Amino acid sequence: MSEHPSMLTLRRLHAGEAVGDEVQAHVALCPACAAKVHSFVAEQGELEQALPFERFAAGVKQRTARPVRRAVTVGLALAATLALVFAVSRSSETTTNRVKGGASVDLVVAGGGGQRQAAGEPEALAPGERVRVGLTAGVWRYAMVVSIDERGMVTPIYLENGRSLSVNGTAWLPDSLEFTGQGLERLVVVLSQSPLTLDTVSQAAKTAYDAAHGDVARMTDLELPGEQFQRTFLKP
Amino acid sequence: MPPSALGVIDGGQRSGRAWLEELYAKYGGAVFGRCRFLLKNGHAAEDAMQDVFAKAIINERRFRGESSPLTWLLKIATHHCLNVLRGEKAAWHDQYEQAQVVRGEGHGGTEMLEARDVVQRSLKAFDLETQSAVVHYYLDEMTLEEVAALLERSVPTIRKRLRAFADQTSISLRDDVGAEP
Repeated sequence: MSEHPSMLTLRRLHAGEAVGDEVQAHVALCPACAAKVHSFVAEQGELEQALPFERFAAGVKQRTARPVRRAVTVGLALAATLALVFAVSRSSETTTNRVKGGASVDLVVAGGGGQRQAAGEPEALAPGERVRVGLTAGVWRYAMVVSIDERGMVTPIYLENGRSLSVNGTAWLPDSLEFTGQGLERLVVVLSQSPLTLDTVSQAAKTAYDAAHGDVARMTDLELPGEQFQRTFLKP
Repeated sequence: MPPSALGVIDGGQRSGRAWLEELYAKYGGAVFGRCRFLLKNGHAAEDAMQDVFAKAIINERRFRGESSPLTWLLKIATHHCLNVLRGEKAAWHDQYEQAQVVRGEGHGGTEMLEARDVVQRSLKAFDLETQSAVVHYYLDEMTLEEVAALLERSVPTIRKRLRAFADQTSISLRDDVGAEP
C-alpha cells in the first residue's frame, strides 16, 4: 500500500472492523499511521473521563426509554366540531405555502420571543414555542395532520374519529401544537377528496420514513391520493 | 456485501447493557470526537453523543446490518450535530478563537490541521448537504465516491458541493475530485 489509509479506515481498524490485511500491514510499518491509531486510545480515555460509561448509559437509557410522547398537546376534543368554515383573522405577517388545488398551509410559531412564520427546514423551536396550523382547503374536501419523529413514530394530530376531517374554506386549526421530546419531527398535512383513515396515513408515513432511511428531513410525499405539505421541526 | 462488523458483538437490545458497553468502548471516542469538533462544547457533545447512540439502539436492526457501524455512527453524529448547530443558530464559527486547540489528526501534519481549521470555520456558510459532504471528505478522508454513497447522492452532486466549498475557501481538493473539466 503506497498511500496512507484514510482516517476513517484507521478508525475502523481501531474499532475492530474488517478493513483488510493490507491496511493492518501498512499500519504495522508506518509510524505515522501507528501513532494515529494509538491516538484513538487516548481519545477514548478522554471520553471515559468526560463521560464515564455509567453516566453515558443512563443518558442513553433515558433517551431510548422515553415514553410515547404526546407529540402535540392540542384540543382534539374540538376536532369533532370542526367544520372548518372559518372567520378567523390571519396574521398579515404569515407567508403562505401553496399547495396544488388552490390550497395552502400556514405555519406560525409563537412563544416568548414573539411570532414568526415557520419557514426553516428544519424549523428550530425554542423551549415553550408552539405551532399553529392554518389551512385553506381549496378544492380539497378532507384534511388530516400527523407528525412522525426520528424513531418513526406517527402521532395523529388533526383528524376526526380516525379519519380525515371534512374541510372547506380557510381557518386556523384549533389550538396550537407543542412538540415534546428532542430531535426532529416532521409535520405532514394530507389533503384529499375523500376521507383517509389514520391507519392508511400512518402506514404511508412509515413507508416514506423507511424510504428516507429514518431521516425525517428527507422524507418525500406519502404515497396517498391528494396533495400534501410537510415541514420538519427541530424540537428544543 | 461484507459481513457486518457487529457480527462480533453479541446481543443487541436483548443483552442491552453489555452491548451498549461494547459500543461505547469501540465507537465512543470517535463519535464523541466528532460531536465535540462540530459543537465545540464538551457538554453539548456529551448530549449529542448520547442521542446518537440512542438512535443506534432504537434502530438496532438496521445498525447491526451495517457493514461499517462506525461509518454509520459518524454519519448520524455529523448530521445530528449539524442540525443542532442550525437549530441553535449559533455563531459558533465566530467563537473559533475561544475554541479548544484543534489537535492534529491526519498524516498531512500542518496541512491537515489547516484543513480542519478551514472546515471548522467555514461550514456555516454552506447548506446542510455540503456541510455533511465536507466533513466526511476532509475529516474522515473518505473518497468522493464514498461520500456520495454515504449521503446517497450522485458523485457529480457531491463533486459540485465540494468544489463550491473549495472555491469559497482556501482549502484544496484531492485528486479524486479533480479540476474543472
